[in-house]
Amino acid sequence: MAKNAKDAKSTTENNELVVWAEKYRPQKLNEVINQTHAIKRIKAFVAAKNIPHMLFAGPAGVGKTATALAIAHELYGKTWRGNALELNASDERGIDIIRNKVKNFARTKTISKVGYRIIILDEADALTSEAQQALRRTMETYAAVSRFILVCNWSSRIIGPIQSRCAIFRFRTLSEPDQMKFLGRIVKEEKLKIDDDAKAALIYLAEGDLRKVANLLQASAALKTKITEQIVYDVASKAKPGEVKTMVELTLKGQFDEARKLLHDMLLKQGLSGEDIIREIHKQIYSLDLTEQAKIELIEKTGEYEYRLTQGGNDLIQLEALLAQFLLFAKG
Amino acid sequence: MFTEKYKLEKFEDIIGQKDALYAILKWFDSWKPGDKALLLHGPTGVGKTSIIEALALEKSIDFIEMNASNYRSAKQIRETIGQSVAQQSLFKRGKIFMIDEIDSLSGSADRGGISEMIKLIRATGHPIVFTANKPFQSKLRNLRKYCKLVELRKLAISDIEKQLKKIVKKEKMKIERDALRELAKLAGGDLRAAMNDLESLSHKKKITADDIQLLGKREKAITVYEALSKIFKADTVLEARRVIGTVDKPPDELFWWIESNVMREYSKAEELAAAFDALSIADVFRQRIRNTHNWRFLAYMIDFMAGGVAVARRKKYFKHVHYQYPTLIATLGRTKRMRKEQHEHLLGLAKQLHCSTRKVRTEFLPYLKLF
Repeated sequence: MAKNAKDAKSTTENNELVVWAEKYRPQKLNEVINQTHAIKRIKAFVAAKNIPHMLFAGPAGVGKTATALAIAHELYGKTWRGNALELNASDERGIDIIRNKVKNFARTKTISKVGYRIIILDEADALTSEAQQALRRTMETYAAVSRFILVCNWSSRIIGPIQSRCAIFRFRTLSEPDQMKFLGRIVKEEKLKIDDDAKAALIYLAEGDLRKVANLLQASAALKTKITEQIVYDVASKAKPGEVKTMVELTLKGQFDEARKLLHDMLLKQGLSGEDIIREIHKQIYSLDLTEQAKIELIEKTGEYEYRLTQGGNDLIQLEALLAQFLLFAKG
Repeated sequence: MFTEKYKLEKFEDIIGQKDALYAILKWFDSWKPGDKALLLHGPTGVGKTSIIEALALEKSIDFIEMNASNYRSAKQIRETIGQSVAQQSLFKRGKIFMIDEIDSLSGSADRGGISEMIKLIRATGHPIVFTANKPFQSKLRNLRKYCKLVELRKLAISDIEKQLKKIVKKEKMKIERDALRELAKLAGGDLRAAMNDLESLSHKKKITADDIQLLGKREKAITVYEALSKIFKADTVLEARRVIGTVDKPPDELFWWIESNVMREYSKAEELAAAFDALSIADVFRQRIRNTHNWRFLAYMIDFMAGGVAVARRKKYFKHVHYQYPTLIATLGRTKRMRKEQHEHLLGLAKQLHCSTRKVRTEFLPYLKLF
């Protein structure tokens, strides 16, 4: 996987392969699909060159980050990189980041005509509450020279004092026609051959997430020149994170040792988080070859072990323990 | 276990350490905050821990032991025990702290450990006892200034013999006179070793000198492999948890040894499910230790990781099991560089794609693989 990451990186740099999710990300506010209620207000702020602190909340892949980046583009044009700090709170979630990186950037004046710089804090709901408390003061103190755009899935995870300092914009799940519009644009520009069933499958699988639409489409197009429903489904099943399904099935066959090896692989070599895996296990339970009674018992166990994980439990041991509970329902 | 069953309960039962006992009592009775700590030194199995435990029992105070073999940098000491040493007990009950194997501090990993211990001695509201095998090492020079040194000697063969005789009588065992003498000799001044040896022969109708010959010389601590076998075969929670203290590895590491080997020992699904559930709970307690810096939770962690795993078993397994090095520790070591490189690539990608590394991993990589 490390190799894959490297390949993808080098190819994007060489422009041989561009990730479509990035290529078709809206660059201007006008290009953001739907979300008119939010965009209209934002445009007014941008036109006046005076934006408040903003909080964007909404599901994945509907244009939140794109809107934030578009604001930076429109405010600063080509110099946007020098005037906007883009931070991902999921990677840099601690209080130190807020105290050092953010604060240092926030208190420096810009030379641009806009008069302030912007700080885009993506996946802000991943910030610890300590960090959020620290952020709250920074937002006030440097408001004259810096504006914050916080992007998150759930605004409820952002502490009240920060919410009250922000104009809140809710991004909505995109309708099917909206998703089709986006899909159609890529199909046209990339000159793809795709039938209607395949399009419908794509939209169904992407669950309203345009990033997923682009990724699914690109992976499908890489496999076959003519994209069919079958190919879309193949790609989707191959692209499931890790081999969670195989792992669960092995356990249910009583092959605990093998299942455990897969788990180690996913956690230690592929670097998936315990949370990602346990969520996938949860999703898989519904379609396992078990009685409904067994399923509900396993769901209860899964919830319990996920809780222990959130209590600070170790990914590996908690997941192993969960698998050992599945072993109770093994056949033969 | 004999060492448990015939544990010292009264000071007067202690054999062969008259001078040391007198010195310890004198130190304890006159101790007040600001005074020197006690540094008990001497070879293994002569009763360093037992004596302090017996002292605590006799004086009705809490005995808090820190086998801190892996948490001893200055910061860690401060975080883990610093607080509780300074605290007065809620119920006004006294406490005595014991920090084991102070001479095994490592210079680099436990940087600042010694000076932190000295700070502890100065700040503590309760008496602290250190133990060491080799107290005169130069790295302990500063610490020694803040300690009263008391030496426990190797036990005389006759003393060990006397103690063994008591046990033989109470257990109604039969043993040849020569055999008893040999057993006492073999222990090399280590009473714990002698008791364990005696117990290992307790199934015999009559123990002979030949049996003793077969025992062979003892390694210092039991190996982790023996410990695993003892834990997996233990009949009670207490028996299993006692094993943790006899092995020369910290509980945190033993945890992974148990985790990696339990499925080699147990074969029933119900047993594995119960054993792993116990490990999962032990893991939660480990986190609670970390969150609250309260080492009291270590007792529960050990109950579950050893006791819980032991009683998860329905019947005893008599097969020979080849225990293995913990997979996690092995894999982590092997893949460290790989994981670091991977993370760097992910960071690069994350920047280009305007998202977190986690999103790259879960949302992009699965598809990128297919492009």
